[in-house]
Parts: sequence; C-alpha cells; structure tokens
Amino acid sequence: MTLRLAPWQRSVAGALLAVLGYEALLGGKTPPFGILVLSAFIGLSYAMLAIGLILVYRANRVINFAQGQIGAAPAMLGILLMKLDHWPYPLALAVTVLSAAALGFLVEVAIIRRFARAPRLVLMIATVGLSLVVALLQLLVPTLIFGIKLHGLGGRTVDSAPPITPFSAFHFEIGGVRFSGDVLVIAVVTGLTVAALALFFRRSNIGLAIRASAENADRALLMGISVRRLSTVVWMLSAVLSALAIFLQTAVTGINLGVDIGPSALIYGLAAAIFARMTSFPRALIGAVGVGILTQSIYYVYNDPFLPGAVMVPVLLVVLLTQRGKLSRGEDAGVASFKQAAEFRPIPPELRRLPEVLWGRRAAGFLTLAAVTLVPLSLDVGRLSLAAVVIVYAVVCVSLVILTGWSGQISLGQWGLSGVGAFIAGWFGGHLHADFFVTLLAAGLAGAVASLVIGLPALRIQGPFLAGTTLAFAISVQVLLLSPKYFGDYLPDVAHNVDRPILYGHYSLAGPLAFYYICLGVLVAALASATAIRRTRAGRVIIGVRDNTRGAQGYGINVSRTRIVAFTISGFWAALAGALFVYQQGALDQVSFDPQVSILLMTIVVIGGVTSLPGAVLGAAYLGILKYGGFGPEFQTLATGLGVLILLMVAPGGVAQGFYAIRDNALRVVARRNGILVPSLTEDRRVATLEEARAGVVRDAHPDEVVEESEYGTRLDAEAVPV
Amino acid sequence: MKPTQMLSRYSPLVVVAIIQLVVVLLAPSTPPMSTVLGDAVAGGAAGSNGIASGGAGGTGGGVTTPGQVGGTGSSTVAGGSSSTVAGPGLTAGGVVGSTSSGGAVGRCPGNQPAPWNYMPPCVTFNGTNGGASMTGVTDKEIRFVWYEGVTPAAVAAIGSQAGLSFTETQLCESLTGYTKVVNKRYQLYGRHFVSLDGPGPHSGKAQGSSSCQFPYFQGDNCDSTDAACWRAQADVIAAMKPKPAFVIGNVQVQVPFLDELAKKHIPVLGQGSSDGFTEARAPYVWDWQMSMENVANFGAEYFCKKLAGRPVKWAGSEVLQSGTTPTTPPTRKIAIVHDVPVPDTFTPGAKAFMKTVKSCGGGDVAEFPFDANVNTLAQDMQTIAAKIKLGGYTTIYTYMDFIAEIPLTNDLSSENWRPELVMAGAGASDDDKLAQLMNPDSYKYSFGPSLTNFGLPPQAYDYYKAYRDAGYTDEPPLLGQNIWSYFWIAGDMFQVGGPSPTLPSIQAGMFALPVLGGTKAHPGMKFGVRGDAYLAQRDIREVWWCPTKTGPNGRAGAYTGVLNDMRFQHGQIDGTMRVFPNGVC
Repeated sequence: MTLRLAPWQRSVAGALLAVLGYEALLGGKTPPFGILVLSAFIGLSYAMLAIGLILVYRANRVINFAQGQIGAAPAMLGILLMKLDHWPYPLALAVTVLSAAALGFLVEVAIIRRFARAPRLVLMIATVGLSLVVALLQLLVPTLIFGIKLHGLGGRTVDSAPPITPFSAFHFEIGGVRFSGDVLVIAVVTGLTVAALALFFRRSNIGLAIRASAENADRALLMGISVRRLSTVVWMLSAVLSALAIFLQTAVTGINLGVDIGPSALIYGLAAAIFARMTSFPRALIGAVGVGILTQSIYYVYNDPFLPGAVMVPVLLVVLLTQRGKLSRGEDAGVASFKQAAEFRPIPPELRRLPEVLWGRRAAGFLTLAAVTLVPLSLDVGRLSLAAVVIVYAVVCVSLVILTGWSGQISLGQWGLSGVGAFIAGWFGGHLHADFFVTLLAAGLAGAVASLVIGLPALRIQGPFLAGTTLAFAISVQVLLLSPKYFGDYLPDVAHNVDRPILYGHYSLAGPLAFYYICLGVLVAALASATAIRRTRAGRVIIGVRDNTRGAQGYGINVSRTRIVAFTISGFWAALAGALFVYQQGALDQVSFDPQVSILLMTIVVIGGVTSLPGAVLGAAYLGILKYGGFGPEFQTLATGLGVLILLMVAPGGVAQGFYAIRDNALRVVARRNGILVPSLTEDRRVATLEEARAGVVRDAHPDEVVEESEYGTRLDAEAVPV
Repeated sequence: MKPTQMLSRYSPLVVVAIIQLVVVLLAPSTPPMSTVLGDAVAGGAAGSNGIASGGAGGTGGGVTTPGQVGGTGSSTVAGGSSSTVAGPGLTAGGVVGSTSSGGAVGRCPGNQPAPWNYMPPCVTFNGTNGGASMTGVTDKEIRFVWYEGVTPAAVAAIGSQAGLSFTETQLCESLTGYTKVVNKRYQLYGRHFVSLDGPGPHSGKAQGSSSCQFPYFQGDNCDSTDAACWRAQADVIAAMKPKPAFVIGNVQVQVPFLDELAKKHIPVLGQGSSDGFTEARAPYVWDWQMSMENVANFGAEYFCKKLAGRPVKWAGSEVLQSGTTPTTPPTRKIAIVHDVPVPDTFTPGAKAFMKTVKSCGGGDVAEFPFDANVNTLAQDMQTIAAKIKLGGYTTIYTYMDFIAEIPLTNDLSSENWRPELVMAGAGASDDDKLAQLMNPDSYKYSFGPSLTNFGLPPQAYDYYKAYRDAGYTDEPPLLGQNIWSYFWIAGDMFQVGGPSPTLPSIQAGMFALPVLGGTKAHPGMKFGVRGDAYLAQRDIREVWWCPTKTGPNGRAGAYTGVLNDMRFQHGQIDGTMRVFPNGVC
C-alpha cells in the first residue's frame, strides 16, 4: 500500500523532516534567534547565485561557473563611483545594472553564442575560462578606471568600509544582532527578483520561449523563436543578477577586491539550485535561505569552519533521493536537443585491415611508445617528477572518459575520489608499510565503494544534480577525510613518509625515472582496461544508456546497474591514481586535493575530447606541457583560463578534434589510393556529382570523390550528399 | 557466455592475478625503513643566551673568538655533538666550535665596521680551512641556491605599483650586493658564497638584465595549492651538480618545498612559520620569522600582564557601557579569532593562548576559528562578528592574517560593536600600509604586540646599509629587507660553523649566539630556544593604531610604538598600559 499525499501535505511533511534533520545535525543545540536571522540573510546571497545558475541552466543547460564573477566588475564600478567619486546611490546602481547588462550582452555575443552547437560539457568548461576572464576584469576596474594602487604607494586608495547608502543610517536589531537597512534592501530585491522572474517565465512570451528553447532549441527555432536573442536576454539578466548581488552585498560586508568565487562558494548556490530542481525560482530562494541557516548554524554550534562545506554531501544526497520522480524531462540530457559530448568515430571497418592503416597504427603506437619512454630520459628530475604527476592526472582523465564521456554522468569531484585513494595509500603505505600493489588495489576498491555511494543519486538524475553532489564530495574529502584533525591517526606525517617501495624486494622505485615508468604502466593498464570495457557488451550498453536511456530500457537493459557499473569502474581508477600520486609525491599533502583540481581535470578531459581515450591522454599532455613545461606564467594561463576559452571556441571538440581530423585526412588519402569509397569518411564532406564538379558548383570536392550521377543512392548514403 | 568461452577470455587475467598474489606473499614490494627527521634537535637547544663551547675541531689554523658583544649568558651547551643526522653531506661527531672567553669584544677593524644588528662577533682566523667539510662546501666555496619563483606579469605589475615587489634588475642587484657584502664582511675562513644557477630555460643567469648578471634558480610559477609543483622544485635542487650547502627559499615558498628539501637533508632558509613544523624537520628548516606558537605566547603574556581580569578601556562606547551599569566598564571578556589554514599552523598557538590566559585569570577564552578561504570568509566573519557581540566579548585577540581582518573590522562596525582589537602582529597586519585597508571605525581600537617596524625611514635598516655597502647608490627595494634577512642568517651560519662547517657545528654555533638585534628597527633574533629552535625572532614592540596619523606612505593611518619603539622579550612585558596616551585617536 502506498501513501498518497496532497501537495500541501507533502510540503508540510518535507518541512517537518527538514527541521528534524536540522535538529539531529546540530545535536539539539539551536543557535540564538539573531544568528538564525543573520544566517537567513547570508542565505539570500546564495539565493542570487542560485537564481543566476538556474537562469542560465534553463537557457543553455549548463552550470555557469562564471555566475559568481560575471557581475563583479560592473558592481565594483558602481561601488567605487559611490565611494570615491561620491555619485548618488541610484545613479551608481543604474551604472552597475546597465554596465552588467552590456557585459552580459557582450559575453553572450562574443563567446556563448559560438558554443550554440557545441556539446554542453564544452560550454560548461568554457564558463570556467570565462570566470577567470571576468575575475580579471574586476581587478582591472579599480586600477584602470580609478587609478587605485592596491595597498598603495601613490595613486588613489580605498579602504574596505562599506559605502554610505541611503539605507545605511537605518538599523534594527533582531535577537541582539544588528542589521542595517542595506540588509533589508537585499531581502526585498531578492524577493522581488524571484517574483518577477517566476512571473516572467510563466506569463511572458519571452519567458515561455526561453523555456521552450531550453527544452528543444531546434524545435523552438522551427516555431519562429529567435533562440539566439533569447540566449542574449538570459545572459544579460544573469550578469545583472550577479552584479546586483555583489553591489548590494558590498554595502553590507564592505569592499573585497579581487575575490574569486571558487568551488566552496559555488557549492552553496548550486545546492540551492539543485533543491529547486534547476527550475523553480521560489524554491531556490527557500533552498538558499535553508543552506544559509544550515551552514551558519553548523558553524555556530560546532565552531569548525570546514564542517558546513563538508555537510553538503549528505544534504544533497537526501535532497536528491527524496525528489524521486519530480525531475522534469528537461533534466534528462538525452531528451533535450543538446549533446553532452561529441563522439569520435573509430577507423572505418573498410580501411581497418589495409596494410597502410595497420602499419600506420603500428608506427603511431611505436612513436607514442618511444616518446613516452625516451623523452623522459632527457628531462631534469623536476620535470620528470611532474611528468609522472601528469600521467597520474591522465589516469584520472581515463576514469572521467568512462564516467562522463561514455556514461554521460558529469562528475566535478573525480579528484575527491583520488583523495580517497590517497587516504588509503597514506594509511597503508605510511603507517602499515603494506605491499605497494596491495595498497593500490585497496585504494582502488575504496574508491569504487565511495563512487558507489555518491553514484546512487545517478540512478535517478544526471547533469547538474550529479555535478553538484560530486563537487560537494570533493570538498568533503579534502576538509574531512584528509584533515589531520579528524583522521590524523591514519594520515602520514613527517614520521610516516609514504616512501616509494622496493619492487619485489629487489628493484628500488625511489628514483624519479623508475617511478615514472610505474605510473606509465598504470596508465597503460587503465587505457587497456577502458578499451576492453568499450569493446565488450558492457561498454556498448553504457554508451547506449547515455545516448538513449529509454531506448536502452526498451531492450531490457537495467539502466541503474549500468550507471553504477560505470561509476564503480571510474571510481576504482580515480582512487588508484590518487594512491599512485601519494607514492609519487612521497607524502600526502592535504592542499593537493583541492576541489578546484577536479574542475581542472574535467577541463583537461574536455580539452582532450571527453569521449576519447587518446583525447584524455592528449588533454593531460596539453595541461602538462603548458603548466609544467617551463614556458612561464603567461603560458600557464593558457592552460586553464583564457587559453581554454579560445581553444574551445576554435575547436569545440578539443585537442582530439585536431588529432582525429589529421587521422581522417590520412585515412581519406588511403581510401582514395585504394579506390575505396568510405561513407563514414565522406559524409562530412561535400561530394559532388560529375556535372557539379565540371560546372565548379562544388569547389572543394576532390576529383577522386566525384561520382557519377548514376551512383547516387547506390554507393552513397543519401544524407551525405545534400545539394 | 559459455563457460569455455569465459575461461578462454579471462584465464590470462586469472593467471596474472595468481602470480601477483604469490609474488606479494613471497617478495612484498614495501618501502624501506623511513628516516625520521627531527632527531637532531635533541641536545642542541639553549635555554637562554647560551654560548657554544663545543670541542675545538677542524683542521688547519686556529680559531680565536675574542668574546661576545654584550654577551650576558653564561649557560653553555654542548653543541650537538651527540646529534646524529642521517643523510648525505653531514658529518656527525665533533663539533667545530669557537673558544669563548666571554666579556666584551671589539669588532675586527676593517672587517665588520658597521654595528649591524645580526652579525656575530668578529672571529680572526689564520691558516687553512677544513676543505670540503659538508655537502656544497669546498676549500674555496660555499655553494647555495637562491630560489626565486616566477611571478605572473599581472601580479608583478600590481606588486610593483604598490612598492611591495621588485623588478628583475632590483632583485639581481640586491642578490649581487648582499652576496658581496657577506663575502666581504663575514668570517668565512677563506671561502666565499657562490650562488648556483638552476637548470632549464628559467636560469636566473639567462634572465638577468644586461646590466646585472647573478645566477639563481628561477623556478616555476607554482600555485600555493600545487604541492606537486613545489616538491618538483625541491627535486631539481637536490639533483643539482655541484650540490648546494643550503637553499634560500625566501618568504614565498610553500610547505611542500621545505618538507621535500628537509627529507632530502638539504638545509633551507625560508617561511617556516610553525615550531611544530620546523622541529619535526630539524635541523633543516630555518627562518628569521617568529613562530606562530611564539606569537601566541607573546599575545598570552601581553594579555596576562596588561589586560586579563581588568575592565575594558579602549573600546567603543557601546562596549564600555555593556557592564552591569553603564558608567562602569565591564571586566574584559576575551575571545580569539584565528585562521585555520591548510596545513594548520595556527590552532596549536591559539589553544596555548587560551590555556595561558585562562590560567592567569582571563576566564574562559572563546575561540572563533575560520577558514582562510576568500570564498567563505565574508559569510563566516559576519557570523563571528555577531557571535562576538551576542557573547558580549570586549577584547578580541586577532591572531590572523590581515586579509581576513578586513571583513572582521567591517562586520564589527556593522554590528556597532567595537571591541578592543588586540593585534597579534603576525601576517603583516602591523604594516601601516596594509592596516590602512581596515575599517577605520572599528580598527581605531586596535593595539598590542607588533613584530616588525615598517614605519622608519629606510636608512634606519640594515638591509639599506648593506645595499649601500655593496657599492650601490640607488634605493634598495622595500622587500630587500626579506632578502637581507636570509643573507645574514647564511653569513652567521658559516661564520659560527667554524673553518670546517658541518650541520651540527652550524647548529651548535647558531644556537650559541646571543640574542642579536633587538633595536628599534631590528627585532631581536635568537636561534636555539628549546621547542622553538629554528625560528629566530624573540621580541615585540607595543603599538596602537591611529587612523588620523600620517603613515609612511603619506596617507592617513599609522601605528605608533610605545616608549619610542622599544622592544620587549618574553618576561619583559610589564603591566603598565602605554597605548593611547591621549585617549583613542
């Protein structure tokens, strides 16, 4: 018998459960009322972030990593106009809003629009690059426009005190905590924003059109909706929201120049957005206030600044698992018109057994082998050590290809799983002096179990929901599992180095070159394992579930089990890589497991080509060369910031796109020489009829690809030859 | 799948697994026994101004130390002859020391002309030195590595505008000049300091400007969280040929760099902020800065002697009137706000502070730790400010970095709760230019211990004098102070280490030196205090903040030191309050 509840009953029951959970988490020690109200106001700052995230998600189906920063420069402009040039508050606010709208417009037209047809993962990673660009803008505003020298000698200066606003003089106290009128302004503006956006999306034609285009851009386009214009509106709104949030918050907390919004701030906004199922603005507001109260209450009661971030994992898991069946079809990325990731085709079967291809593959393999085995001999020990680290990253990237590229599950916490492996390596290797292989295996198994736990929500949901959970997991691993405060008895310290082993009691791996080859061996094993999985039925099922979940279900495939299998395999390799990393470093540095690395690794994979195993390795190589190649800091920014943005704009398929383009060109030459027509190679090229070629209609058609008209429809796929 | 198919498919895997299992059982791949660092400190730390009297050693000529300047200590320490430090390049056993006769000593004419603060007493030496007595030392050279990370152009530009950075030429000239000065002014027993160039495209020599060439190791631009990058930098240094005797990492290096060098038994000077860290890696990590534990000890002494158990005095009117009657200020209710960085170098000091203050009648000290993460700082500080107000805390010990203190001052002002802000002086919060960024409304109630003194004209500092002594006529960069600080440590080490320097002899010599400095512009420095042997700074001055006073940069806001910037060592802090002589500024 199932219990059926009315919506209002469900809401009341949910609220009661939330209160009970809250009480349980705090052990019955509720903070004073004043602190609770302050926490709720703090939650409002997360609300603006959450609303912005939802807005962009609705339009573009991505998590916008730049949401926190996109309005920072306009807000700084308005604040400094007020503070230094004494502009009136309304005028400064108007400048902030207008400049934010202009920036949003510029960002959409110059950057976002170029990713309209790109896989969603690519756009998401592009927003990571965008966040760095707009953060830089924020730093430039005080210097370039106001001539402020930070900390300065010469030039103008500004202290951090909040600017005087028309509301600053008004104060009120609740439960002994004092609030200014500016706090009320934040509450009112946030409330109005939520109401206005909710109405806008429900009632206005533009709002409805945005929802429609988010569900299916192609269909919306066919119905005469200008998808591009809508996207521009959304990004302008998003920038205005971000700027408003920072502008209003600065009036309360003061000026904070050059602050970057990283994972630990994003996670709170994302948690609220997830609570709102990435759709409902009012729910986002409630969720954000709830997150504010929960996090600050935990901080108040337990007096530990790291616990609030760490507690997000169980909270998100509970939220997601209790939302069973409530997520709209739009959240299923397979339904929307957007692709999560681009696929790269294998070598066509017609050519696979040709001697040129066989020898070409062997030669490529030999050259790669020679490069990865011989090049290290020419590196200094520092670069050699970093090359081994890059290989460890490549192993994690392989795990991401399995999870994200093939299974379609977005993980922003893969390095957190590596942290689990690192913990095991620190414990087994540092304290127990366990066998190297046993330690690696134990680490891999621990990672598989951990990924099983965080993968449970994946049974129900995908996309940003899972991304949020995994990001929260990465934060928890760093601040809890790897913290000497909580697990100091298991973690290595100066007296418990994780020294590299003597292999089988005879071959020391202490040298950097020896351990580089060990790392290389593990990478080869990971690649071989992934390749084997891809070739088996299990691999085909994983990809089938990603591409068409319902279709796969129709064939009797257990979708849940398939996703969990992908999670488990991926977690195994990620954690094993983490253990390897600890041995490579000879220590377990808590700082190394920063959640930002997880986002960096996802960036690497996207740069490489998220569905391609060679792409994962190429992406890692790209990062390694730019970051650790000794090219200087300017090149390093290319590895993670503006360079990523530009690279993805030029080649949305990442480095692998170039790699496969070169391969395909070579294969075309081979096909021509052998007189073999390969549809899968020519479908992306214009194939001309003889008449067209003679008439010069199709100018770039290769003579060998020109076919007689009579052959149309017999030798070529009709779709490959549209005129 | 049929069983036969399954067998044929998976049998190789099963065979490999079984073989591996057998091998693991028969010949496990385990690490060798670890070398535990930190043993060498035993027996080496002096209780006070100890003077080494280790057995004479070395080869060649005799060493005579005429005595100690102002040496008051009479305790003697057998300098580390029992210390055994594993690893290459270290000679265990007899300590090369100098004979000490105590009493006043004249400086050697012409060699140490200036009364520089941190230079050990003059030593005369005739004869031949002990040659290659330790790794990186020959009969002619003492090789060292100056590590300099790459600063991104944008950051360098901002730093340069602020006067808190230096150009490549300024760095090159400072390094050249200070090396020259150490070689000229210190007794190095016939040797001289030689800086080694790093490998690769970022060779310092190759990057030097055309007018200045000084080889140093130009490292990579490692993020603070990229431990792998920092460890790789240390790997490069460890593999250098010829090998260095020591490394100067300056204030910019991160913990993994120091840790890795210590594991490789290479002494490194730089950024060791915690006793726990340096003692565990003894005797390899040295720094001139005060340990965070010692900072907290000073804070505790300051509170116990001057503040604890007394009525609050220099706070906002709302705090002064928060007692049982508005006219009677309440007894101080104390809280500590502190960072919890990764790795955590603050919490041990904070806990010790709380314990000490409680024991001296300060009552239970409330602890407000926060994550030094800019993403959550603003929110956390709002809650902390509200907790401070709700708890009625009148006096806050700000044991934190200045960046975190900025939002705290804003939030306290917003709460209209302006308690006494007793500074710890760490994290550059006692730099006038940085303090100008605080909220003046609440920060005007700030006073307490200051570690450094940035407010004097540059001519007052040794780094300036040394720069001029090297023959330069231009102004040294502000951060030349840091650079010189590491050069004088290095100079001291190889003078007191004797003609046959080894790490034990250097340690014994350094520990035996009395407190050096302790003047208005120069904090007192002393290595070898038990439990805090490798972080040198030993005294503080007492300051208060005046938002209307003109600072060294010509802007409003500056610190004022009591008793003309007099410095106080442990035990010297008295109960007299001298801050805000004319009331709060």
